[in-house]
Amino acid sequence: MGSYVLKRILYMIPTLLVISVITFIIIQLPPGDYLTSYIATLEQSGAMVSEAEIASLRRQYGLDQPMVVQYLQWMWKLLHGDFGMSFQWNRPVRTLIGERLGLTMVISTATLVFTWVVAIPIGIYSAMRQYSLGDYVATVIGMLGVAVPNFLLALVIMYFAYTRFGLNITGLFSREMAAAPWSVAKFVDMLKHIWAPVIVVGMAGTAQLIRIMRAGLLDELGKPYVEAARAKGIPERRLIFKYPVRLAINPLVSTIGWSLPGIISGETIVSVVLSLETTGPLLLRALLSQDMYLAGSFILMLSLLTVIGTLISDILLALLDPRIRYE
Amino acid sequence: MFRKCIYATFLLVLVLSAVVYAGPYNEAPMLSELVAAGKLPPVEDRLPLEPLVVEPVESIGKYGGTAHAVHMNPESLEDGINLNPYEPMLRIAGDYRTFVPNLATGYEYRNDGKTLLLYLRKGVKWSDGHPFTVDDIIFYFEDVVGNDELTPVKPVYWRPGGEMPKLTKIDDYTLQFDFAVPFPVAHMYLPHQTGVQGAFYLPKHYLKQFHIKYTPKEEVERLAKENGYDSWWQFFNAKQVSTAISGLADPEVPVLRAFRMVSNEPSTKVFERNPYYWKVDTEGNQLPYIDRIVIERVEDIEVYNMKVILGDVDFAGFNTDLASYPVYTLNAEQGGYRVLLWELGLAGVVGYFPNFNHKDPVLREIIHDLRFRMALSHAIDRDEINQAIFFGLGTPMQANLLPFSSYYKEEFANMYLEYDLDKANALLDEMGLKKGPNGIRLRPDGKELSLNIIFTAGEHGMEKTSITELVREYWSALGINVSVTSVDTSLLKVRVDSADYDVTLWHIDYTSDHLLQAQPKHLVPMAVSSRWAPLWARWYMTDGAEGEVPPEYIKEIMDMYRATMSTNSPEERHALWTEIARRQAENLWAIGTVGLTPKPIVISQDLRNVPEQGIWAWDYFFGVIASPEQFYLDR
Amino acid sequence: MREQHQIQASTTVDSSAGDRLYGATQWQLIWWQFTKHKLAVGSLVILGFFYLVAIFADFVSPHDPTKRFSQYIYAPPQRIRIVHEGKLRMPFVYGYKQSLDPKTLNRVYTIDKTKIYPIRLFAAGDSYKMWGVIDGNRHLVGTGDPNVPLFLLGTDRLGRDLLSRVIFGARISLSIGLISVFLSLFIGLILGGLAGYYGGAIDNLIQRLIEILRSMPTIPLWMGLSAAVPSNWPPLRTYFAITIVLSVVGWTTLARRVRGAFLSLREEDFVISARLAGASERRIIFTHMLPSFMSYVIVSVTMSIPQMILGETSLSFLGLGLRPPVISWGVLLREAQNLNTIAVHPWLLVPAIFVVASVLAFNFIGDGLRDAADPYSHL
Repeated sequence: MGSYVLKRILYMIPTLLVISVITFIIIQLPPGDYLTSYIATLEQSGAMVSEAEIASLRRQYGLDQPMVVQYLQWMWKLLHGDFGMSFQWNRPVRTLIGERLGLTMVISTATLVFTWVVAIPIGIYSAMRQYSLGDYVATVIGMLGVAVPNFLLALVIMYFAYTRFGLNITGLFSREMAAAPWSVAKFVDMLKHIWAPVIVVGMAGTAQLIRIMRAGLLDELGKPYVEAARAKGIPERRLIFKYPVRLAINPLVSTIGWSLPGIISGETIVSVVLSLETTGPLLLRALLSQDMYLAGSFILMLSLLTVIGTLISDILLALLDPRIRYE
Repeated sequence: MFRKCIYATFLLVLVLSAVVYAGPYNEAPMLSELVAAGKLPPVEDRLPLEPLVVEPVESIGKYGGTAHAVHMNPESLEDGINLNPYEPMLRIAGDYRTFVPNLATGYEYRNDGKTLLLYLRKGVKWSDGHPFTVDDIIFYFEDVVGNDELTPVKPVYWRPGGEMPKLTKIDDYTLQFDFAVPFPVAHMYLPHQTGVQGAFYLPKHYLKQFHIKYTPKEEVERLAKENGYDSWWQFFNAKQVSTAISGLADPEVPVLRAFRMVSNEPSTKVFERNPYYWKVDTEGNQLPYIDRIVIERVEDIEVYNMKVILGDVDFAGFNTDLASYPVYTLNAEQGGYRVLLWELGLAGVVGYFPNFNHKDPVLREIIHDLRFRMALSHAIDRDEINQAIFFGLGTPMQANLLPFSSYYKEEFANMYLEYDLDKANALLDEMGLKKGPNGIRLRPDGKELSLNIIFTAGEHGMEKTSITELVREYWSALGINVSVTSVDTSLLKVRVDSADYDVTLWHIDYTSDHLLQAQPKHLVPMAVSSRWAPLWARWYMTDGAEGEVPPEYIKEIMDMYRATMSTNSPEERHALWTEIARRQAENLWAIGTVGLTPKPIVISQDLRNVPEQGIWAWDYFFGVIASPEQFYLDR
Repeated sequence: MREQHQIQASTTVDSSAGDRLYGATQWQLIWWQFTKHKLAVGSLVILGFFYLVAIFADFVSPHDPTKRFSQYIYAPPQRIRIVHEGKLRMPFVYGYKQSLDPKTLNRVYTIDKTKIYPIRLFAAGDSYKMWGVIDGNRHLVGTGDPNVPLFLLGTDRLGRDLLSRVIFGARISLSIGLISVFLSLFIGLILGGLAGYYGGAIDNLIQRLIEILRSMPTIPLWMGLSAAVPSNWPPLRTYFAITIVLSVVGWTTLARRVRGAFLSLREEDFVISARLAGASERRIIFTHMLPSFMSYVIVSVTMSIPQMILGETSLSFLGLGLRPPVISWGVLLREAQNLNTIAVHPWLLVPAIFVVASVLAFNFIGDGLRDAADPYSHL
């Protein structure tokens, strides 16, 4: 086990290096760079920028260097824990991500819990009553979450929550509380708003979990030990919850690792629509404006978390199911 | 003659500022408390000798309340600027043409227009109580604009003859600008900050601690590092953003605006009244009336609209659009707000710019043929556009000038305007562009005649996209193979800069006298944003070093524009501008659509002193023309 | 794990199923099992219908999808009626008239009962050239006059018939899913197969590649790749570029599944027997292994198509996907994603129903297939 983990960690280094290169290329792919859009903005507000001035701006932002040099400078800084400056915000990347991280994690964790609480019972029910009306209804509802484009769902919920029930669910706080320091009242205020994003984002995740749960449990239910137990006259409920359900949950547990980057990045599109100050929209905007260090450092951070998450998943799976061998 | 004119202008400014109120003054209750506690000097000591008297739109207001607004762009407070605007030297008057005093009380040209004397209002104080003097302007020009690290891109308008002016302090309130060449239009730049990527003035007493000229560089660099910045200029720029147009601020930096920032969170900015604000109403009440402004940031336009219909904002104008008008009115009662219909001060929400510098010689020749441009114009059914997109409330017009302009002529706006498909087809036939077997016209070289319209949605994006969809079909009806490509800003810039496009589009702004003087981009190819001839513009900007040599008739226009800047005779300037506008109208450099369209402004039921009608345009600083410092909340 | 159970499960098969069961081919078994999943069968019918409509879009749609009726901007859907003034008639629609409410700037439509337009089958209408080959002007339904409106789903902001646009959108959106999945499958099969069969260094390399692609957040990957698509490309080429973008991001899932299947099959008795019998690698892969895991592949493919369809709408939301004048469900939804639509013109949200229906259908078919793919389980 120990050598397996060590090997995996060693693998992470080349993987991350390649990712950093891809990330850098992706950010450079669109024509122009941050300065092109910055100067375009300047010009829209009436400025006239000469070639010489563009050259000196480029030098100031370090964008006059060859790509390789820019890349190496970026990596060098990263290795020293410096995420760089955001061009667009003129603030350190660390601060920008930092001030959004707390809220993002609150929403993501709440969503994760919601997904599990909804998906597991439905999955168990569906497996036990395969092809019953209840199974169909549960599956359809579960699937709806995946099938409805969630930006639309968010918008519709937002509008009708207000016109029908007078609820304001834009953002995470009411406008009186938005600027207030943290307090019990503010926390309660947040709880009043958090359900909408949690449902919209969570809906999309539940179908997947329902499916894994249902399939896993069906597999288990067909096994001889279940037959044997049933033949022995163990009550059905006890029988199912004692072993098959526990075994069927195993693959779900392993998905926890995969959710790690999601917890940090949040659901970008829903956050945009519901105006949540999470990290997702920040990344989207950074990509759009080619804010190189903000986008790059953030993508790399997410990728690192994915790689770690995968490792955690695999370790969890191995711990839960000793039959899995390490390759 | 010249002396007299200048004197007249000067006098006008003095007369307008003569609406003097001689006290006693009143102040907001929240300030009286501070005065009583000894934390603030009395109101008489905080106000200047002669505070600017603002006449309220409806009535004298009540003190108090918190106004809310939202913005989307992290780089600008948008509606936040409308509530807490930048204070320029002069302000644009209600006729959209003349100027009235603001921070400056007057100006005077001397030395054949090579010298400008600027008179500042005496006794104005920064929000920390420090006096505002000409030193703050000199600091901006010499230490900030003059510093290459801080300002790699110099403000172009203050460089007549290619040189920055020399600034001389006559006394604390009198500043002398010496230009290299006569520049008797300098005052046109005073009411608007366009092209000045800073502020015109900065709080020197505060900012000098972050400037390497006044503080040892190691010290400043250390401060920058401590705050997470790589170098001193990044840190300084983050500080000076406070006084810029964007409305963003650093709570520590003193301001001259009506409100100063007190908290700066990523999603919420809070502003509180500036106790030293230098304006009063006609009864001597110190402005502003409103205590506090809270500005929230939203990510998406639909959340912006949602905030509007929730009644969560007191003033929304920056991102409101006409297409959403029905949903605004539908929820007005429940949300407790009113929807005003102002006019969008654009001579066209969209104008189309064929590329006069096209790289393909055949297409270029076609574009250079006036008959082709006329055909494109006659093929557009502007009434349908007006009906379909603007509920019939806009005005079909060419991309020329607006009625508020001193140089406006109705015939310019209406030239080649009518929808006449037969005439358009006849013009193309006359040019010899015969239709091929599949109904597409063939160019002289036998290829199909194709036009690609490339654009970026951006401002007025909905309208631009819809109108362009229609225009694509109108031009297709002429037998032209038209395609539409929408791209993001930077790609469009790359393409336009290299003149690598067939047709692009933009809204027709910069039609007001002052912005036209500064940047007549749609009439004269003189800026990168002159999208109809970017290479001629580059030739103009670089004095012939780069770009493409324009033909004589374009050089003539460029010379006329230069003459408007240097002539000391207003009559001559007027004649020159009228001629430039005529040339544009007759030559149809750009093809216009519909202008002066309605613009919804949403205000809460409680917000008072907002004019019912108005012009909304960057040319007039959007809502600032309504003097937001005299808005009040009747709660 | 699964394949292990498969063998165990096979021992529990009810022997009364008899010779029919043991004599049936694998595909027959799958089909029998599939028909038990009623939702899946229903979905198959619905999807078949969608694809038929998409293929014959020119004929099925009542109008030319780009034709503007400037008098009918934001017209609500017409109701098909059969009763006029108390009398029963053949199906017809009433005409309607637009007026502008000056206060709310809302276009109000009032039904004009004096204008009755019977709905005809195979009616003459806008002329078209189906698949660029067949000329015609007959439409499945219509009023017989191309200028008389038949707006069964209403019209959009330029007065274009929404139903016709949805039908033409189906052509793009339903095919984009298929094409991207087949592209992904192609990449996934080759790389996944290579990794699974040969193992060792090749497996390791491909595994790393998959890991790298999966570790990158989707949105930046999308944005980077879409940005690389030249914006002046004609719509058709952009369409294929978008399918490539979707499949470059999507193939890893398929490759992982294929690899997993290969890994387990490699250890199966029949493969080992074949190898011992001296069969060539080629023969082992194509004759013995491929049929066995075809079912896995089909299931994976069906499950991936909805993701591609939704991917197209998400790309459109981000402004990175197809753009007008191309008509796809994503493009239609992007135009509908505003409060004004939800509040005042809700019929413009109808394309969402079609997206949801086809995504659901593909999912249920996938479920049905997966349940059926173990031919011997749960019979």
